[in-house]
Amino acid sequence: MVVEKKVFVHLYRNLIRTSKQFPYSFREFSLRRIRDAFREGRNETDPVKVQKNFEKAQETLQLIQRQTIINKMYTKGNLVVENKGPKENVDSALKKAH
Amino acid sequence: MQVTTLRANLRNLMQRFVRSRLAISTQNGIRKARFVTVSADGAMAPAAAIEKPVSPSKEETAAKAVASSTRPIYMDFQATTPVDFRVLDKMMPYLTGVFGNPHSRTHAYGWESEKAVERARAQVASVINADPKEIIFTSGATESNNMLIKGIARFYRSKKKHIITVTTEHKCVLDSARVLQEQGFDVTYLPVKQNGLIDLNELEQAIRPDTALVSVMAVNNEIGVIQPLEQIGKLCRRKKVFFHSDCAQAFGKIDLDVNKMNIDCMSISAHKIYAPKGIGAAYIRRRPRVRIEPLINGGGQERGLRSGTLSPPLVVAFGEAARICKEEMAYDHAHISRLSKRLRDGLLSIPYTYLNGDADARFPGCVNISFAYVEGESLLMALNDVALSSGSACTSASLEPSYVLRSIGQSDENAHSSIRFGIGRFTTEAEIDYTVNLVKQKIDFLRELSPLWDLVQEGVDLSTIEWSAH
Repeated sequence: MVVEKKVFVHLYRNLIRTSKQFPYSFREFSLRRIRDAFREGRNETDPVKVQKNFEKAQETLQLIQRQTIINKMYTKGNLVVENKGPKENVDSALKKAH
Repeated sequence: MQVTTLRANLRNLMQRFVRSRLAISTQNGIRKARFVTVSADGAMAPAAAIEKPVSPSKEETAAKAVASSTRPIYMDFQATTPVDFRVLDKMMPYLTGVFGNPHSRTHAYGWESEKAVERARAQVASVINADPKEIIFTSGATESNNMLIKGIARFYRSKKKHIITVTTEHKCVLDSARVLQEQGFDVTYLPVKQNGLIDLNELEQAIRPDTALVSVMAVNNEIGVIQPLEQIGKLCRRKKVFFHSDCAQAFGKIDLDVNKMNIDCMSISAHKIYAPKGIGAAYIRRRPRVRIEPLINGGGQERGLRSGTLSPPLVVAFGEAARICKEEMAYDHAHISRLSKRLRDGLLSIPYTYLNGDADARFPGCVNISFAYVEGESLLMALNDVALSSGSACTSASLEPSYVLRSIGQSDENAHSSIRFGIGRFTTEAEIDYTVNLVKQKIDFLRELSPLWDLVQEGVDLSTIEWSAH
């Protein structure tokens, strides 16, 4: 039984949603990495590899769920780059620095 | 009609009263709001003291987060790296339920810890194409460097008395060589060219019949240059000299193959590859066998070369970090190269800046740039929103300019005004842009203050000035 595409979409959405609870560095890395990993495996046809990708994605989801909890317990404070958006980040944060 | 309006007015009044009480209570930070509910027909419901805590609104949390966004951006990945969340996940069982001593042979606690340690050993070995039996876990690259350099020199002491190293090596290598010098060995410190690389002809001429060891680091921690390991390895194999490489900054980041590069021993550090601090490894070749005199004696763990109980959480974390590095080396390298190019283009567009080290034979994650006519310490203090370093962490306590930068020919003033930018797996484009903009602003600001800068702008050559003595 081949894993269907909509299962992957569901997993992808869950992964992205859970990763948003990380602190800045891990959050940006996870979002980028998950997006690139799914993009890479999008056109995979070999059912064995598809099954492997599916299992890896499920394990990663559980891992991220555990780790977001731990990180929230022990991380304090936001980075200076974390404000609204990437462009306003820089300008508003620089203004604040003066 | 009159009665309805009156009732509506009364209801309005009650609701506004209630809402104002609610607003005051949240402003004062009082979590419990005790107020009465008003039912639709204006009658007062029984005073139900609502114990439910009122959480601050979304806007308030966002406002507080913005106000407290003060942690600096981390751009010092050569000093150390954060522990990757995947690595932390793998090590948690060994800090909780699976706590056995891996050297306990008689019960399941020991067996399961030992299994994990051996699995990690294989993971570390596979990154450099070595055999797991050739990996010895230590407390870090400093211990590995000490163990290998002193151990090899002392074991072959009767026949070989000479060691060759490079002036840009890490302090632990240079200090070990100095100690050996005091104990009667000859040490040659090879100079480097201006781009940070050694001259192979000089190395060949320096090798004597009684040379025991050549030690050249793979990636320099201050300027990021990659030495020509394959050629050095070939030369050493030809002359039958052991080749040691301190690969703390290179392991997991560039392709290292101990067989292709003829490396006989190697020092590895875990906290540079997103694993915790306090663990490292030494690779010691078994064919042809490299013998060393152990530094730490005891119960014979790690083949008798490094006794002492291994820490399963640290070792497992190291193994997992190594596995991730091997799997994602190409991906991370592409990301770091892209960000490094962005950073370099942004910073080198400032006038009178200079990139230290060879432009091509380098690891992109380490960018060391000298900013002329700006004092280094004041620049670092001005850039307090970004975590940077000028020179390596182990020399930052002393006021001396970095010896690595002096070895590549930088004058003392330029060596003082050099900043090392480190880029890693978790660096983002936004952080790079922020850093570049901040550096540009602060450089302008500091140069405006500097009278030397005024002289330079007028076209005066600073080396021709005769400073009068007071």
